[in-house]
Amino acid sequence: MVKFRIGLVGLALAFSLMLSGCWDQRELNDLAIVSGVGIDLTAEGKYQVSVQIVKPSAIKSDKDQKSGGSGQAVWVASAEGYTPFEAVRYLNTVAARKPYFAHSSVVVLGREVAESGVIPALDFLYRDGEPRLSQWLVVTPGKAVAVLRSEDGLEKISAMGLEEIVREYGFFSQSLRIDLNDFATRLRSRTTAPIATHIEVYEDQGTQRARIIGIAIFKRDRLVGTLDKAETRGLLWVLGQVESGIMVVNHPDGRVDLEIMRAQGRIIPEVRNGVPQITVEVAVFSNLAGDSYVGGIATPELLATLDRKQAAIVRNEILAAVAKAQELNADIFGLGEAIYRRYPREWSKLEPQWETLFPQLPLEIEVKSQVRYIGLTTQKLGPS
Amino acid sequence: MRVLEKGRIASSQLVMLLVSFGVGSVLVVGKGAGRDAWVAVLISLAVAVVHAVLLVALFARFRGRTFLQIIDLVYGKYLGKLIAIAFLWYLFYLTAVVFSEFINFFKTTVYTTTPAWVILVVGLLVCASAARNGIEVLARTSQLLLLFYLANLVFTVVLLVKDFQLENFLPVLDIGVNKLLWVAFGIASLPFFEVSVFLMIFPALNRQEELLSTMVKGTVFSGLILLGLVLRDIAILGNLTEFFTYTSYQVVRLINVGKFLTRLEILVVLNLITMGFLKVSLLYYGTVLGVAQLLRLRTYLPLVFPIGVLLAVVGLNNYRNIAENLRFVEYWRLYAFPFHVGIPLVTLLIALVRKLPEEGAN
Repeated sequence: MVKFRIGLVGLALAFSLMLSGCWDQRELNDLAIVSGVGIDLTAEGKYQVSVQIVKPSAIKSDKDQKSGGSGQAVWVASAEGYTPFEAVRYLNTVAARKPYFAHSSVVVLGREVAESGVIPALDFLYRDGEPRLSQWLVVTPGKAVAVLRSEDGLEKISAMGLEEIVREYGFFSQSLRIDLNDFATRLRSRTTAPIATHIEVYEDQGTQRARIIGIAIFKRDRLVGTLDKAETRGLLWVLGQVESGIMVVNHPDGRVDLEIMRAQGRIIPEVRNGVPQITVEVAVFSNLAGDSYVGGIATPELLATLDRKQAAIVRNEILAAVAKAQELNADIFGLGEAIYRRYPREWSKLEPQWETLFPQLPLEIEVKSQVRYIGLTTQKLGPS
Repeated sequence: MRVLEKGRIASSQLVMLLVSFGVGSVLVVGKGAGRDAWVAVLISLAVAVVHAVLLVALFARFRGRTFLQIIDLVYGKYLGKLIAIAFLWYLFYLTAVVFSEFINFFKTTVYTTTPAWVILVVGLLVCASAARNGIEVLARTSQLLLLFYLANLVFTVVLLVKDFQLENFLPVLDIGVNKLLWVAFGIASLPFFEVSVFLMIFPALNRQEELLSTMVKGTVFSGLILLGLVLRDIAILGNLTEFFTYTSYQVVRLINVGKFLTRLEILVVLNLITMGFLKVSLLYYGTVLGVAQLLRLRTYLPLVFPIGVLLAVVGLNNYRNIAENLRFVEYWRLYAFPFHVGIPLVTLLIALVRKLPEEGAN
């Protein structure tokens, strides 16, 4: 019996030699860590998938050379295929390591692929277990690969820089971050139009850089138009997504900066006799942040004027966004869903005609505007 | 019939076993009802409580007898054997089905390139060991693992609260009654009615007089946890709950707190490993115990290994692909109904009509 037990222990120890790790382990040096994915459509209708791969050695070498510089620690590889996933596997015709998508933080769509429909381009990102759904979805008017090739001034991995630009939209609130999960939620809605951050590549002293230019609008899964920065903020007021930002109020004698401190937005639907009506309630609270207005002593009267002008700006931005959305017949605000949530019975009659209803839907905008604080100075900079 | 299981468990342990059993489902729950799935959970929970009372009523009427003895007494020697075999087949098949569902989950999510048979053999060995050790060990294991499960669950929910979108629940109940009831029926069948396996375990409870309250408590607790899970999933995913194969897994993938607490989906996998282990072990144990009672063996231990081999074979070959699995789950409620509701209910009715057990028969 004792011998048997010793034998068992020996067997267990022998097993531990063989079972020393995970079955499908993949070590770091076998992986090509993807920081960003780009999908384009080629002239002959194939998908071109580009991945920005992190070069670990290039990140490390920075410590040796003190200057640092703008050297990017990435390599952008591209491959083509009839489906995006086929293209992903053909990436291994140029790269010896298997691309690992779990750390990718942004998915870039080129204009052609966005216009031809994004469902076939994106499905594999949802189905596969590796890519995260927290990746930002961005659209570019040019080629996606150009965005991945662009450089970032702060980050050695430019896709991570891009990820941060998209995430911190709240500093100026004229863009919106949309991750794959948000995009799918809009895509699966029967009326709400999907949107994505709109990014362009520009040249800055000989280097290619990426910047936000607003929002791209989809109808079903096809790119149909864009919002510029002011129109985008109009959308954000309605969605209640404005975080901060500067509003410039024109005054006959100069300009006044108002810094948005807090904003709220609410869509209130109403259906009367089968006719839908939408009220948008926006509240905005801001501080006086800069003043080039010559007579600029902060008086209650001045602030009251600024209140009114601020409200007018907000209203105009919303109207611009609404006009664009109705022109494109793309319900970017989710008005249809808002009606459905409140009036499910009436909605069953409205939904079939939503395509014709939405472009002429009357919108009432109520803005509550308040300029509250004036900062550390009470008078203008200059002789009074 | 000899006493095959000498272990005794306390009421609190039975509650924990019931909860572990109830939450140990991969394909949770309420697919088809979208944002109204939580209503379906509530309906099925109410039905589940009635079912639990039915099981207790049946068992209490024949106090001191095992379920197979009851069947024998009610249906007679030959028909009784047939019905016992049918019930044991249900337990056996349920074990295999639950196990292969877990394997499908692991193959899809974390062990994508590990062969299914490796997961299956390793998992079954652990479950076989648990089944061999009997109900006391299982109960104690569930005390430990359930604590871990709950802590884990609370952790993920807390991290997700900031992302809850309550308008996802609106409009409430914009769904046909038939559809809602069909989904509720599905949730009742998987997991609630599956507690029929506890008919094999009831005799081990040390305070038989607390059986009813224990059963109700266990059912309600596990129902409330499932309700919480469904509410969380809808609040996070909204119209995407039907889109993903494994909703809970997807929800936890979305956790992102300060870019630091992310990629926590392994917590869901851990929870499903522990609860799945308990569920499969319980079913496994119920099956071997029942077969041993049917064959009038002195001990169930020699059955553990051969039945394990059968489980492996059925578990591996039950589904050719995951689509078959999902389709099967759609119809499981119809297939399983005669076993987990039909047999106990009919047995109780016949016992009532024939006024069994006869006085002095004990």
